[in-house]
Amino acid sequence: MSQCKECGATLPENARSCPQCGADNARATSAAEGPQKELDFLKPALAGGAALGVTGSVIALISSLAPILGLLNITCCLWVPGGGAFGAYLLNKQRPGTLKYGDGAIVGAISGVFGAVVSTILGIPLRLMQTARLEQASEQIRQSQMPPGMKDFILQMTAPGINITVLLIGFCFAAVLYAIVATAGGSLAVAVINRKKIDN
Amino acid sequence: VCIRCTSIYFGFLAGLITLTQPRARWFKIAVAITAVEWLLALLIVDIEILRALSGFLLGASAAPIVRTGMEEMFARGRKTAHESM
Repeated sequence: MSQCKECGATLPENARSCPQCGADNARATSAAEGPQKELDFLKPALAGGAALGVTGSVIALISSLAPILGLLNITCCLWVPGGGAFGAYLLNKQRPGTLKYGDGAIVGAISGVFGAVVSTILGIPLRLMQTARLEQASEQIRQSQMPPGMKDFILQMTAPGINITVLLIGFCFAAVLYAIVATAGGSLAVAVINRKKIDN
Repeated sequence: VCIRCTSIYFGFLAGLITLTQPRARWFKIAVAITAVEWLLALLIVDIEILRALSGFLLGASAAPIVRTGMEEMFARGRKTAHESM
């Protein structure tokens, strides 16, 4: 039998919240198991984010060196939810089989933001290595038919060299996108690795 | 974007609208079906309807899990913010 950590009431089996005080079941613990250890989200999230950022950058590097290996893109950016899932996997080691979907989501979200930091930093030398390719892309954009405002924006984004504004825009875009997708990856990883019955 | 990925997105949307309870077992089954279909497409025969169906199942079964995860995450964030005030 489980007991509510907030008010001590006995909980029905698999209850998500305490019927007495309404506290979240995540805070409830089994009397036999004792209090649950607090989760440390940061270390698994940093590892997940590092894995996400490094894997994405390595794939981008390989694709730029050998365009035929651009086929790696068929992985559909799976390294982004994969980073969140890796963070959830490491988090699960702290309290095996007891994670909730929200725990996976939290570690995934932090992994996504940290992954954006890593990929932005690793993207700087990658961008410098792609000067010829970026110049070629800029030339194609100059010759294309598109609204002037949009053309200027895209030309600024594809301009060779390092531009702080471009880096910041790229980072913000990646941070939001990676956080959302890695949050999904973290939650889904909990569904896969959690051997205890997690759903009501 | 291939038909499998498109079906995952549409399945996810359909799952968000229609499914309320997360089912980890359904998601695991959908992952297994997609893996089998992927291997089948790679090694034997690539059938678009199978791609579409397996992708749809995967997306639909993932949606309530992702939504529950986000709800729990935001609920925890609100609680932490409330406690710190």
